[in-house]
Amino acid sequence: MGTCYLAWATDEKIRRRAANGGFVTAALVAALENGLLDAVVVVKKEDVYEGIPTVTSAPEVVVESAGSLHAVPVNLTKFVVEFYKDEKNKGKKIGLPVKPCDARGIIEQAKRQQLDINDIYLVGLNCGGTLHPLNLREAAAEVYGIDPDAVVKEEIKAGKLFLTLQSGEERECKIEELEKKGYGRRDSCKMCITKIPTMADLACGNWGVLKGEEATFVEVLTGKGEALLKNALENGYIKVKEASEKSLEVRERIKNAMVKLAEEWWEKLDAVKELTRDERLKFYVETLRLCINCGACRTVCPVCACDDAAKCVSMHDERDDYVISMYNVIRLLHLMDSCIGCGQCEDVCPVDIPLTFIHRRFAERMQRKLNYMPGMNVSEKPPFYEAELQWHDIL
Amino acid sequence: MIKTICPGCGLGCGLYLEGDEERGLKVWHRKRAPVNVGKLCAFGMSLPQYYDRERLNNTVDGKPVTLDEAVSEAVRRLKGVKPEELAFVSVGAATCEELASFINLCKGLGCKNLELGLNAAFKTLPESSHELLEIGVPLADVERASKLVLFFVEPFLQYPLLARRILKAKKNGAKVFEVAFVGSERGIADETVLLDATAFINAAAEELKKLRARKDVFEDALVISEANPYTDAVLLREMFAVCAECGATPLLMKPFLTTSAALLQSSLAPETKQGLSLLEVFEDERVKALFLLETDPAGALLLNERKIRKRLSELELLVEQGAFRTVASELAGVTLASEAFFEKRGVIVNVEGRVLENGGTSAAGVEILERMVEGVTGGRRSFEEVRSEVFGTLGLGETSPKEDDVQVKRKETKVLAEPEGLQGGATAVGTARGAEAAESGDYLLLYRTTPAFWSGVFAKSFVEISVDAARSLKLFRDDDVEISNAESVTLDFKISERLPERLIVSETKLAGVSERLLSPVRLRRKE
Ligand SMILES: Cc1cc2nc3c(=O)[nH]c(=O)nc-3n(C[C@H](O)[C@H](O)[C@H](O)COP(=O)(O)OP(=O)(O)OC[C@H]3O[C@@H](n4cnc5c(N)ncnc54)[C@H](O)[C@@H]3O)c2cc1C
Ligand code: SF4
Repeated sequence: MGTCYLAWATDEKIRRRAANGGFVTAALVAALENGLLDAVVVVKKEDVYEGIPTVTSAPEVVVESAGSLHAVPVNLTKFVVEFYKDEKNKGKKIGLPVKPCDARGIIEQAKRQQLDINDIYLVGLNCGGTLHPLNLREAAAEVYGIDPDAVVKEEIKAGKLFLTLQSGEERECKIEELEKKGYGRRDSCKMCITKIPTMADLACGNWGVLKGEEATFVEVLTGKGEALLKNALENGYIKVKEASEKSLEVRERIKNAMVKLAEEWWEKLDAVKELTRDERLKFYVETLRLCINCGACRTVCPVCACDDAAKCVSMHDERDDYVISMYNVIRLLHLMDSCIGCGQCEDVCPVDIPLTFIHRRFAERMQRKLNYMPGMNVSEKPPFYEAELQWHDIL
Repeated sequence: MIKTICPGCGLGCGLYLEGDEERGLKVWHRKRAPVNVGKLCAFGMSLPQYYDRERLNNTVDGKPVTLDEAVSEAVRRLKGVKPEELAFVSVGAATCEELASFINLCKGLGCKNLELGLNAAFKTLPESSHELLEIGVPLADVERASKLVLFFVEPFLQYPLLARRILKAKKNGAKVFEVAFVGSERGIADETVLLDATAFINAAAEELKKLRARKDVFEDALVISEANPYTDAVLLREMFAVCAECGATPLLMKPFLTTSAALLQSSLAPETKQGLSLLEVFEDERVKALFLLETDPAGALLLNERKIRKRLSELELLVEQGAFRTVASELAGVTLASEAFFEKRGVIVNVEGRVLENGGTSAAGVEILERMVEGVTGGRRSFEEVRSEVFGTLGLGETSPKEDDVQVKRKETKVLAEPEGLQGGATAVGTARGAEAAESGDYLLLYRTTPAFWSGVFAKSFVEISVDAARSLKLFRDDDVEISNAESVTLDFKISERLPERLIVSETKLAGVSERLLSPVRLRRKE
């Protein structure tokens, strides 16, 4: 475990906008202004239901983007990959706030040589999960009984989702209650067990911030993380104090409870566990045959680094009449060691194939067997990674 | 990142596009878009490809000119044409504001031939049904329906973002029927009412009697079909007739942004709904001058390119306004360059009646048209003025567009009057009949989608043939087949168990082989 602090921005404007102590924003601004970073990726808020990933070198844009958008289920990996595809960005140092699934995607891309992890500062955010924006709108109307457009702020505290109206009035509902009614977090998030981004450079959150404290709990995990914190501290952007035993204990307790809950959800959402082998096959055939070959799941997949010559595409022939297409079979195989369960594929599937569940069902058992968890450590090769040709060995 | 709308079909899915011409565009999913919750079909995913085409320039007689020169030359030439010899056509990616200006210009010139994609259908149905053609129902109603009939429409292929709503309806307990010449692939329907394509070509009315015998299918159902310039008039009439008889509610899907167009045409220029249809414009010798707005004739017509070129080159005047070069550009007397759809500022109305704001910033298309209006009538409106006309027409009043609400609604949901003239003589746009059919072949070629749409972004290099056809032609996997009519093409094939023996289906336009949705062809093994 890294050193843990409670940290907060010295700039009041940042603190006001921020999710917690504004440490994340202050650290990123400090890094931009003092030359530690060339650019930052933030999720720019349009409203409670919409945020747009944005690459910026402008500190004011970073400040404007302070705050957590729980109903913006983006994964930032492919934005970072696209950024480095542009020749003029090669070698640039960037920093970004990352949920565990963002961080894990970026680490998997680094393993596949799509980016250099040394260039990227991962400011991890603990994550209890994201909500689908339209699902939140519906919940606002149906459960909270309010006009979704009147919501100006959403916040998650102590297992409750608070919605603040234009009038300043605040309404609350337990997330558990929401989820019983079919609202709440996306299924992938309900099942996700990586709650604290220990694979990032820093892990920030509100777990461990005690009542009455206005701060971000920060765990420093790597040298890059330390550099970010030190730069912000020495240049007066933040203040810190070491986290108390109590803080550490609370954080650990909540995390463990969340992991347990996720495991319970996995049991509940496992659509095939009660089925016989034949029934299971029928389930996979019936869901995967809906595929319309749009390719969206592959495009958004944060661990896929294949180009247009990808096997799943090139070995797939629309003239074939397989009940499950080669595209889907190959993706299943490819993702068994690499799927991080982020749910992006299912989010974008035009025919609502339960892709997260299907991929998790195969990957979960395979990864357990291989004792391998993707996206946790950049130096751990994916077990099914193809042999790399070492040209200097050959020549 | 630009918040934009896919112009591929009437659903109007929301997405973000990012990038520039040098780096190319990239699609990002906009999960907050209520129509599609961020999901896109293969066409939506291919929008960068769709937009990656050569841009149109301002020209007069093929020579580069300034926009001012192009505008004044277009005005001068258009004014020199007799209104009855002129046609205005737009079946592409134009905003409501552009269409309103386009209609304004058309009227200013006294022209009554305005085709925005639905004239054939308007002429087929009685006036009282036009509203049902123009505007659909909220897609949430599809999810809630207890009975759905897919009437010659294949949602997975044509409207995947509708297919997911149908799947939801099924989960909610709905019964799904399909009426088709061939059952759909993914078993979406609980029951398929098959019509025989050969019998339909020979005696449509007789074959359609089968439907009347199945009132149980239609009673109180939501009947989903499609209206496009090739929609078979006989089928469309029959669908409305059965809906009227059985108290069913029709939902007509449409390609492109046709809903916007139909609503504006009905309000601003109702007299033009009886004007020439898309095909008639291209076949009627009386049309001597044509103004195309954001329309690629090769992408919108099943005619082959050579025929289209020949027809266009015979015109006395061709004016083209659009973002991209098309088959018409080199033949046009005047071309006017506007911005691509994703760059446009303006609204569109989707099939449900949602007024959706496109996030571009350019008003160039509207400005060009309004400058022409000024040249013709002396008056010119600002973008804001055009916009307020559009909002007024859509009944928004002072309210602004809200993507979360269905703001344009049908007054009636059911068909009030049964269309007349089902028994004979109907213009069979979609189907080869009579002399055309008599030319005959041993097989029938059916276009499963309207392959002219989506601008050939997905040209498939194969057709589907039946198991029996493959057997009788002794085909092996590596063989090719030759399909011929006036001309012939050679392609790969896929064997499909669902197909009746003599039916071939294609998703791609086979130029020169078939210019209708259904027509006889010959099928051979390519030696
Ligand atoms: C979806 C989500 C769920 C979270 N769940 C928990 C939790 O259960 N427990 C916990 O302890 N902490 C959780 N956090 C972290 C917490 O909300 C704060 O982000 C963290 O404590 C840092 O606070 P801060 O004031 O320093 O951050 P700020 O200074 O407010 O900066 C937050 C940064 O996060 C970025 N951001 C906003 N929304 C997203 C998003 N959807 N995806 C990626 N980046 C985004 C913003 O652009 C901004 O740069 C969650 C955060 C998110 C985004
Ligand atoms: S369903 Fe229609 S609007 Fe949606 S992405 Fe496909 S073509 Fe575009």
